[in-house]
Amino acid sequence: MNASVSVELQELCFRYPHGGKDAPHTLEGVTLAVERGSLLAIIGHTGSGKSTLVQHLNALLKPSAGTVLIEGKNIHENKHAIREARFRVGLCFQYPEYQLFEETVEKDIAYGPKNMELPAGEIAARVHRAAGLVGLDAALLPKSPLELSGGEKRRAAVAGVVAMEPQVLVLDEPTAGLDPHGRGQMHAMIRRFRRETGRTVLLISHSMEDVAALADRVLVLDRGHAAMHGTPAQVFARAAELEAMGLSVPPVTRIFRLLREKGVNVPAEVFTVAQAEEAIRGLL
Amino acid sequence: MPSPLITFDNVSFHYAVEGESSPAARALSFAVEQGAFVALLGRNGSGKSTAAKLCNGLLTPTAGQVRVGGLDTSLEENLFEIRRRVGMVFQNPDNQIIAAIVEDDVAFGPENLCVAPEEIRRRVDAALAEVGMLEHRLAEPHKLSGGQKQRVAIAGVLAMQNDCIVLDEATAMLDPRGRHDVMDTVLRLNRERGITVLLITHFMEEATQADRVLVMDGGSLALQGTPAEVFAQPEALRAAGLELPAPARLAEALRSVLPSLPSGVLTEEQCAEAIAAALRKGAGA
Repeated sequence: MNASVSVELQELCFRYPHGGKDAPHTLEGVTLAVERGSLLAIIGHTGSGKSTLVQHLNALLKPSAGTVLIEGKNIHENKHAIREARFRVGLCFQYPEYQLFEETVEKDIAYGPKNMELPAGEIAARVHRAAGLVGLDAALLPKSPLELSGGEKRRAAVAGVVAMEPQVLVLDEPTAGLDPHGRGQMHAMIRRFRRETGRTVLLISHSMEDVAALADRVLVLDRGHAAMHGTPAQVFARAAELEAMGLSVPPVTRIFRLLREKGVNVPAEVFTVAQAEEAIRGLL
Repeated sequence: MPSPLITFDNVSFHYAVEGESSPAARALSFAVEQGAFVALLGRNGSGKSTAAKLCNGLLTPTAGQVRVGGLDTSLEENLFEIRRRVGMVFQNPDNQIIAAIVEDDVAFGPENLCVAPEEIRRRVDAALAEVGMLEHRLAEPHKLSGGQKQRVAIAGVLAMQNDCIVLDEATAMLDPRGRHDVMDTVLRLNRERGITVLLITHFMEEATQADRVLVMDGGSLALQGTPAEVFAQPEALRAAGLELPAPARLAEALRSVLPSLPSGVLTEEQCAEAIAAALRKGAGA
């Protein structure tokens, strides 16, 4: 076992009891190691198995075959290990704001730490820390979740998971349905969380711009198989294969591909605006 | 001059009793012409979805008037005709399909209009062919992808022979191919079948394909114009919580190194062409 690995999957297989091999949401022998403190983006078409995969990380689903190791520990070793995994891996589902239910934002964020049976002082400290990490103003804590904007609600829901201080934070489509400003704030939140905690983050997204902006590594799932795994540059260099899987590359990458077709000698592996600026500067 | 299909005349709307909440729509006036493709943008909570629901009488104005083909949406007796003309497709593909088989779902609307069975058959087949889902007519909806489900929802609107489709963030939950296929279908229906489209979206790139763009903020109209006009105002857009489309954003960032790059590049092709031209100019200088 490598000491710097936070999440490890060995030949992970999952099939729903009555679904065949080709049914959606299955996993077929996924092997993966995620380095501690890194951000892994998981991309794939609808039904490719992204959400199924992350639900294995805190034992919401049990593998049909294969092993899940969190911080080197097999999470299905015994009952205690399962409970431990639930606290070590914080899972934030799609549209988590629909799960806000308490009277105040503060109580909602405190729900997870309370279930961990932490002392009251520690709970209060964690709530404030989590609110700060997601960029929620302390003045919003006594308010009802219903009074928050769409982007604030989303970040309040993420704070509820962050307050459990998991080793691994999993975000399933955190920017879906947010306006451009809200997407920008979510990016800032993810960067701040990583900088200040050094924890591992797994990010599921259909937005190639999110992936280009945030990821250290990218895992591409296609019908339950790990089709690619590498740096964003390595993955986005395979545009034709991605498009055949129903995915895409960031708009900047497509524009640079068009430039190359026009005979302009720019590098192919450009996927953010900053890289584009540098590439064009190199031509002048 | 094409006649307006939907007109908002000084429309305000409060969800709660007036005075207890800020209005979700305030003094909103605009028209959607017959056959137009209009994109409606705005930050979360700006009132876009409220405006969508005002379009076919799902909500009725607290003040002012919404008319569809001249019919006032606040009059109960007009609602049947208004909803026959204006159909809605919502964000979550799993919340708007009710039948166990695709073609039954598409038939649900015309069945409620008491259309004759052989005519329903014809309409359902035609609508499914129109959205490219005819081969899946006997499929179970839960086995479809998000993009396929949204196209079935659009077929359901077409089978009602609506003149207008209002799409309320219908691509927000889809993967890249699903988004592309839904946008492709909507554009084709507008250009080839003359279906009026009101597209509500958070994706600026989708709005560049519209004839006209409306931007809402705080319940009122903050900006409107052609995509080229609206997306030439980055500061005003950012003040409304929005952004430039990716190609325009790239051009804006590159202007520090390529000062001759023009503003108002909307598509990826235009952006690549403009960069290539600016580089040629730079090399010649």
